[in-house]
Amino acid sequence: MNKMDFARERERSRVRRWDWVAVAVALLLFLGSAGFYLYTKRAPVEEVNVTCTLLILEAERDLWEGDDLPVRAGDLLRCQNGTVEMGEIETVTVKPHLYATVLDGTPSWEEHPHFVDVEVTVRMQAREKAGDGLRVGDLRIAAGSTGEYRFGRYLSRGEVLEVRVEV
Amino acid sequence: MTETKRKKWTAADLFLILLAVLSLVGFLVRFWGIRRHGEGDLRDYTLTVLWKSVDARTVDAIAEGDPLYTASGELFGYVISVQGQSTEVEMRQDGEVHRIASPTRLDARIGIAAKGREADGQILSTDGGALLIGQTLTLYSPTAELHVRIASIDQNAPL
Repeated sequence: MNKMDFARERERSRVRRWDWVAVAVALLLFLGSAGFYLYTKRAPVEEVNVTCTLLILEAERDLWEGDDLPVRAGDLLRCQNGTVEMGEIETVTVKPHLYATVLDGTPSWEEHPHFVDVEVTVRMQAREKAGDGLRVGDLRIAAGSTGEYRFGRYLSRGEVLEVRVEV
Repeated sequence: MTETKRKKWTAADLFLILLAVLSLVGFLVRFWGIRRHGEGDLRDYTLTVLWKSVDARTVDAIAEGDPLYTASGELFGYVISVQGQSTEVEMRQDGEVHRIASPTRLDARIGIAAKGREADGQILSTDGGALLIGQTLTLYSPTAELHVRIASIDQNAPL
C-alpha cells in the first residue's frame, strides 16, 4: 500500500469512528428518555385478596335444575380462552330470571319459564395499582365490566356486579 | 498530497441525526413542558353523566371522592355526587304505554369534577379528547368500570 492508500484508510476509519459515536449518542438519548419516562410512570403494586360476584344472565333453565349444576363451588374461574386462572368459585346461587310484562292491563315482573339468572362468587388474588385498578393476570377486574368466562367447564358471558377488596 | 474528500451524507447519517433531534425534543417536552398551553389554561368543569341499567351493587362501588381514570390510566376527574333511581322498563300493549320500575337495576346520575380547557369553541379534557354532550365514555374507578353518557357540562365559577 502506498501513502495515498494509507491516508484513505485512515480517513475511512475516522469516518466510521464518528458514525459509531453518533449511534451511541442517539441510542443513549433515546434509551435514557424512555427509561426515565417509564420510571416516573410506575406506581406501587400491591397484592390483595378480592371477592367478586359475577352474574350469568338468562342461563337456560334446563341446565340449572336439580342437584347436578354445571358450575359448582370449588370450580375454577378462567378467562375465555382458559389461559388465565382467575380464582376459585365459592358460591353458586340460581335465581329466577324476571321479565316485564303486562297482565290484564297491569305491568308486572314475572318469572321467565325458560331462563334463570345465576350469581357466582369467586375468590381471587389480584394486583392493585393506582390508576390501573385491580388485575388478575392481564385482566382488569371491575364492577360493571362484562366478558366471556369459563366457570369450570361452563362458558358464558358474565357481568361483574361487585368487587370487594379484603382489608 | 492528501485528497480532501467531501463526505456524502447518507440516509443512515440523516436517520441518526433525526433520532438524536427527536430524543432531544422529547426530553425537553417532558421536562420543560414545551406546550402551547400551560397549567394556567385549565379550568374546572362539572360533568353530569348517566350510567344506565346497572345493578344496585355495582352503583355502590362508586362513592364521592373516588378518582376516575380513562382507559389509558390518565386521571379524568373525581366523583362529587351519585344519585340512583330504579331503571324504568317501558312496554306497549294495545296502543297503551306501560312503565314499571326494575327491582334490581338502577340508572345512576353521577357528578364528576374534571379539568379541561377551551379550544376552538370546544371543551377538551386533560388528555386532549373533546368532551361533548351525548358522548359515551368508559371510565374506571378503583373497583368499577363505568360506561356512561355525558348529560351536561358546566364550567365552575373561578374562586
